[in-house]
Amino acid sequence: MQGATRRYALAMIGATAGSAALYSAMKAIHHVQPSSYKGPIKLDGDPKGAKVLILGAGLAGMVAALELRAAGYQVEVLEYREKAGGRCWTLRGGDTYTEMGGATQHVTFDGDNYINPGPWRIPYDHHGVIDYCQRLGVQLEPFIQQNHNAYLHNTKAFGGKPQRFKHIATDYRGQTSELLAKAVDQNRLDDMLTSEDREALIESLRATGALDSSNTYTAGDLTSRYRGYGKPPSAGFEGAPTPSTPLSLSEILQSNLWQRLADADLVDHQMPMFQPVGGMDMIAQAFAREVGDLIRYNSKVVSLQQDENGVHVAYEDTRTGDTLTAEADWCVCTVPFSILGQMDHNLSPGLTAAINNVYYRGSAKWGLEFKRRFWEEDDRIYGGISYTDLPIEMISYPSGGLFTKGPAVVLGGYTWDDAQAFEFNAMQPEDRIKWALEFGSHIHPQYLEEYKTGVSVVWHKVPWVLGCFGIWRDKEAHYANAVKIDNRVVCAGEHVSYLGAWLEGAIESSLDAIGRLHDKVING
Amino acid sequence: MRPLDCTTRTVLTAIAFAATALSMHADEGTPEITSFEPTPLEKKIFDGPGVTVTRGDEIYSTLCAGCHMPEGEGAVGGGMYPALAGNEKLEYPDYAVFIILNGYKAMPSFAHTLSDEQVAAVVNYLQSGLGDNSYEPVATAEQVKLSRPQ
Ligand SMILES: Cc1cc2nc3c(=O)[nH]c(=O)nc-3n(C[C@H](O)[C@H](O)[C@H](O)COP(=O)(O)OP(=O)(O)OC[C@H]3O[C@@H](n4cnc5c(N)ncnc54)[C@H](O)[C@@H]3O)c2cc1C
Ligand code: HEC
Repeated sequence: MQGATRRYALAMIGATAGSAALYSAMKAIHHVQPSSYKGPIKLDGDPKGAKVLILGAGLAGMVAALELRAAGYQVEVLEYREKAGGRCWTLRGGDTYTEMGGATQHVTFDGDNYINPGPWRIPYDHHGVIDYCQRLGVQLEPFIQQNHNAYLHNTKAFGGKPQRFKHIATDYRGQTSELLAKAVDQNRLDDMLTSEDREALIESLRATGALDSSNTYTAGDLTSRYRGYGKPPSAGFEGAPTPSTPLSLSEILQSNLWQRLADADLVDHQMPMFQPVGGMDMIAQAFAREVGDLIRYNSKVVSLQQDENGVHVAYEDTRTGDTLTAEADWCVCTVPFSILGQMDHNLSPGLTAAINNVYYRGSAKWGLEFKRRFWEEDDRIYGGISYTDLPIEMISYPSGGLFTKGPAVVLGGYTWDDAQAFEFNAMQPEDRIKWALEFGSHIHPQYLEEYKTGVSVVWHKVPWVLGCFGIWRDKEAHYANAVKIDNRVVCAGEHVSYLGAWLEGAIESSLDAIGRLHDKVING
Repeated sequence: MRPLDCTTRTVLTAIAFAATALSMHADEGTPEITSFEPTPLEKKIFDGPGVTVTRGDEIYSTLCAGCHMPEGEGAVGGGMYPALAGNEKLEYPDYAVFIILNGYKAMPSFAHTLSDEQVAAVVNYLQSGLGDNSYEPVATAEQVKLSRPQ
């Protein structure tokens, strides 16, 4: 009813005042969230052959390379790794990864199976990432963040037995609704509500909480329609269902399993989320098809100097050990601050202080390949995430290739807790795998029987970032100095944004930086 | 530096464990992990929230070694982690205590992860015990407490 009225009003505004008015009217009704991404960047004006040196070929570096070349600049990119993408990275069978300290893992996944050790999901309102994917022909598919049939698990609750998300979610909502509806009905909240709102609130709690006419959440057909039946409805003489029995509120409250209930309600975790078909580095590969000819790989920048004549960079060819130099008029530096801070540079004191203000968070991720999709075949879990209080924190099932036979890869853990991320970081790869199998088997007893092979990445040991994403010790004091163009050098990347730890942050930071740099080149 | 083949090591570890606690079964000749018995130190690591170990060498090998490496030898890639073995800045405890509590550049702070006693214990291990370091280990929990950022 209300929706129809609102749409009608919008149609009226659209018809009489044109689409700009429609847009601002819609914004006022909170229909459209304006994104700070404004569509493809326009860099008008002739840079007259000015040369820009870009340090790092992650997404920030490659966005800059693509757009600056299109605007008429001479562009050269120096990249430490042997390939493009930086953290936008995928591991597949046949890949080899050597971490800090020298431990090498040979990935032996089957066929096209893969794990994204870094970025793995794209929110629907990260317009910059989605726009580049469309422009560069990267096919996106749904990433299943929320799965009501996945598990919530706590070693100290329900005898350590994993619970289905839908049971905890429905019973929690139903029983808290019941309490609130009863409190309202017993006039305990009269001082907070008008009498019309009291009635409407009770009605809404019945509808959303699956309460009966006496405001009770109880075993029966109604609650079973949300949490699932004891014996599900089927056909034949014995086809009638039997209701299921809700868990007690106290048990849920004491279990802590409510902790992750709202995870997929966070704006950047809301469904639908997306992932590139075939692995996150499809985005990196698509950029590399555009700007690969500008990138010099295996080039470790060791020094960044600037003076009135230009930018002077020294880098090591990691294959030959030779030290080489590169010159340019301008520089876009996307090297993570963890590494830039260790470089020989003559950046201004303000920018230097900003660089030194940032450290990088640790995180561990596992890709475990199993002989078959037992989570689908045995547990009826198709994509999504199970959460646990064990140090692996979660298990995420593949969103792609559903119902296929043969080996498949799950994300066997994704840790954020500082102490545990440090502890996994200090382990050798084979020990990390052992632990992930041990912990995961508490949720899926099939684990050890079905395990085939695995790989794990701990981000403090990733040689070309030394961490997962940048954290400011004092962002307020230093952030503006990191954003500002420092004579001939401008920094960009996820760390120079308020969208840290997202691809969108890297892209928006890069577009913002090159927009200002271009303005300086053209207008002085 | 120390290239290890993960796959082989897993298999080897599995075989080594098999003799004691890890049971395995063969499937087409490939040994598989079917259960896992952690070492005493490994058991301690995850025995509760936060950092559960208290000895200097244990704190070092379960936290610091991930970056500074097991023998304190440091590591180099696109960036680097400094060596702590043979590091002259460890002659007196103050510098290490300051860095551990405040962090510095890419080194995170451990002020909220470690207690005064744990910081003192790991600094003493850096001063004497790690590699051939043999300075006098004189860090105390009291000193750490006074050095904590306010
Ligand atoms: C575990 C994890 C999970 C994440 N999850 C998500 C997610 O689900 N969704 C999402 O959108 N984002 C996610 N992110 C964030 C996303 O990966 C980053 O924000 C983004 O990739 C950063 O891009 P960048 O260009 O700023 O940096 P990078 O990609 O790190 O690029 C920097 C480049 O500089 C190079 N470099 C380093 N040192 C040198 C040197 N000395 N000389 C030359 N080159 C050098 C590096 O090799 C690298 O290629 C995740 C990140 C991690 C680590
Ligand atoms: C995430 C990786 C990381 C971890 C974990 C880490 N460090 Fe560090 N540490 C660094 C980096 C990087 C530096 C160098 C900072 C700089 O000077 O740029 C450093 C520097 C140091 C220094 C000073 C060395 C020197 O030569 O100046 C000491 C002492 C130190 N760390 C001790 C520790 C101890 C003790 C632990 C464990 C509690 C630890 N670190 C854990 C990354 C780490």
